[in-house]
Amino acid sequence: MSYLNNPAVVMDNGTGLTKLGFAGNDSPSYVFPTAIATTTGKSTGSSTRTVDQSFSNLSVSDSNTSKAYLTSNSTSATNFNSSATHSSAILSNHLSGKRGTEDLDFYIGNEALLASQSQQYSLSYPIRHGQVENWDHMERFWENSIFKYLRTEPEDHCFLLTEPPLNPPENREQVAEIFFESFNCAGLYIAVQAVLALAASWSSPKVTDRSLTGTVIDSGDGVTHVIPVAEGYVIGSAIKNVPIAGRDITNFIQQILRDRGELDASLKTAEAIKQEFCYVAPDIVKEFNKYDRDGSKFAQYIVENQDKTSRKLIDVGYERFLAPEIFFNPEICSSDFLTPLPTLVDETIRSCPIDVRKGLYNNIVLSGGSTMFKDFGRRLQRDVKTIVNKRIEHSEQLSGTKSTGIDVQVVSHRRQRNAVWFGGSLLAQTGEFKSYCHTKADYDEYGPEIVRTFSLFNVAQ
Amino acid sequence: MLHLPNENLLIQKTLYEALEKFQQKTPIIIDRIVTDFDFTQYHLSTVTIPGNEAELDESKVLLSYRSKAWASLLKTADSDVSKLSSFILSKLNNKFELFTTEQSYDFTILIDLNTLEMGDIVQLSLIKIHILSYPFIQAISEYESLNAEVLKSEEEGKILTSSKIYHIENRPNHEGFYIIASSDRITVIFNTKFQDYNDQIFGKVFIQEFIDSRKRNRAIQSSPQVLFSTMPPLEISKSVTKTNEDDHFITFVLFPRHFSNKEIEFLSIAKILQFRNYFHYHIKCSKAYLHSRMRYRVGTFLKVLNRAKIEEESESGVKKTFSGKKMVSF
Repeated sequence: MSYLNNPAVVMDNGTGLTKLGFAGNDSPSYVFPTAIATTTGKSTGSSTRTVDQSFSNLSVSDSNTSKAYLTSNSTSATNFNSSATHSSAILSNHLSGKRGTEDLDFYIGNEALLASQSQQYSLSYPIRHGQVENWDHMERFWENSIFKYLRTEPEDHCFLLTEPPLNPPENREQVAEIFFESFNCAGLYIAVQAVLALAASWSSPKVTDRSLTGTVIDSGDGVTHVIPVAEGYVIGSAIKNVPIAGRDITNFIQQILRDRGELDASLKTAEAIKQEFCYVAPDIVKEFNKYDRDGSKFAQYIVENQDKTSRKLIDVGYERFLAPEIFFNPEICSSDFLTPLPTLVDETIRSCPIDVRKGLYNNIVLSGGSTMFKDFGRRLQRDVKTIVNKRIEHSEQLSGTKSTGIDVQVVSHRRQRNAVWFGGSLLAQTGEFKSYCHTKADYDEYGPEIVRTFSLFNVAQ
Repeated sequence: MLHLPNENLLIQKTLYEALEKFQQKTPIIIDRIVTDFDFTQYHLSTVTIPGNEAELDESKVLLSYRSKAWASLLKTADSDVSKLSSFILSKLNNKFELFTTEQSYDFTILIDLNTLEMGDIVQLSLIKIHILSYPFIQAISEYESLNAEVLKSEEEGKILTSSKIYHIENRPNHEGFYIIASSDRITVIFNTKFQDYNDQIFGKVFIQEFIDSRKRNRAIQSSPQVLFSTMPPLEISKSVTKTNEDDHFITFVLFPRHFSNKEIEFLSIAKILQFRNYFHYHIKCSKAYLHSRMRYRVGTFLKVLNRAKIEEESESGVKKTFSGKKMVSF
């Protein structure tokens, strides 16, 4: 029965961004902020009109973020408002008239950011530090993303959700309660983000054996994690965090622009320069010399205003390689955190059981937007290798025996930005995926504690 | 988010991106699966150049469609694919051409980005409604001929009903809807099932509200009449052979005013086609609302519990030093 082969839905709800899509696609269908805008007070006819207006103004001005929803934005807003005023007027003798439908008056994602600019809606982020804080908001966020954006009937699809490492099992149970009791979803699988990032690295030609052992360096907007994974299980006690991530790099660039007195030093410009021009240099001293000798290394970034009438030229200089350098030499921007990333990776692996360390060194996988800098992987590999080789040399001297050596390999691939989502898509498109999901029948039989364990699955090919 | 939008946002977004990138002379290659309600799936992909399979023609995109409803839809079109596809193409203003149907899909059209406009993208995102509107349009034309016949016969109060029942099965387990044309109305009967016992209860409350609100409010008298039963209504009792306990039949009666012009006709059809999804969506929303109330209740109970403290036993007999240590006498 071909119609039963509905693709599984893969949802990766992160602290900052949510990635939604269907298994089998190579990139998520939607990437938008994990934000929800809910009403603060009773709506009246006049105030809804102002919301409408600000909506249309905003969607025109903020074109690069919401262009795709331009039409849908305005229609959904008007649709909703007209029906809201309608229902309060006519249905006064009904339950719905008495209670109102505030619980359905909300927006998520980019639409939420727009809506929150008016007085009527207040914005909140239901996920903090990777974990769900507000289940009410999260349930409605899911409701909207499933029905409005993905247009799926949850009863017909299996779902693959992600969770951060060290997520308490109670949170998993909450997720199961929502997905099975509210949505009656056909099947549910909850995977750890780091494991999915490992699975995503299989798309790299460097990877040959498709194992689920490796060290994942996950660097998003807020924080960078180093997570060791052995045979699909996270070694929780060894996880380490670096308080340096995408936002710090942007701030660092902004600071440099300000110090130099550039014409435009907004966060948006800094962000654009980070994404367009930054790369990792093998040696900063040499790189400084190169810049001084060769003027062509300096770049220029053009800032245009909305109507493209005025142009500002922003010079881009040393920050091209200095900004990503804060991962390797944190002292240039932070005064309290001073451990370079390669050292931290080495420390993490050394705090793991000795049997898996070789595998962990052998497969260091990058994931997240802040690992996208050119040559980031190469530099990391070289630095970790230097640390490891120095230690081996030292122990060889002390013991007088010859070591077999450790092979350090950093894997970077094209799907790095949404690696977690891509890994989920890769796993969920296999035929066996459904058999690994917990079904609604299982849930009814055993209760929410069933999701405390999921069997790992490995796609051996 | 009271209503579900009619259009598929993802088709809209994907085509918009493709068009924008194409106009900026940086075309992207797309190969995406998109789904819709009721086992509908689309595949948007860039066309390979005929004869040279490795090369892609970035200016052309294929949109393939498949759904559970296709088989029964074909039946209503006398199993004539060309009849159905020419209908769909005409609904899309004949701007697109048919392409060799992709494997495991039912219907494929070719989109040329050179001539694609914003309005077309909106129409393409409504393709599911356009396709499923075929039996409705058939029923409406049947109504027109029956109506003309009644007018001709000049018999007072005569009502003719077509013997043809359009049956569309868009979900497994015989869930679907029936359309019957008469000389003064078109009847649409939904057969829906609930997976969960709780949903069934919610569903009944909802349908009751649908029926009652029309009775109670004069202002919405122009809406279609709604009836509900657990037994198949008489109109379709012949064609429904087997019924289960969990079958629910919801009848909508569309009067001529609901398809008086093209715009209203489209809106009525779109609303009717979305009914099942809307219905089940709202059952889920109500459950979510109940959950949030329950969480709130648990939260207040926890507050009360945290405030409660066990009274400390009076320790009047024991002397204490100034720093709080107990004095022990030997």
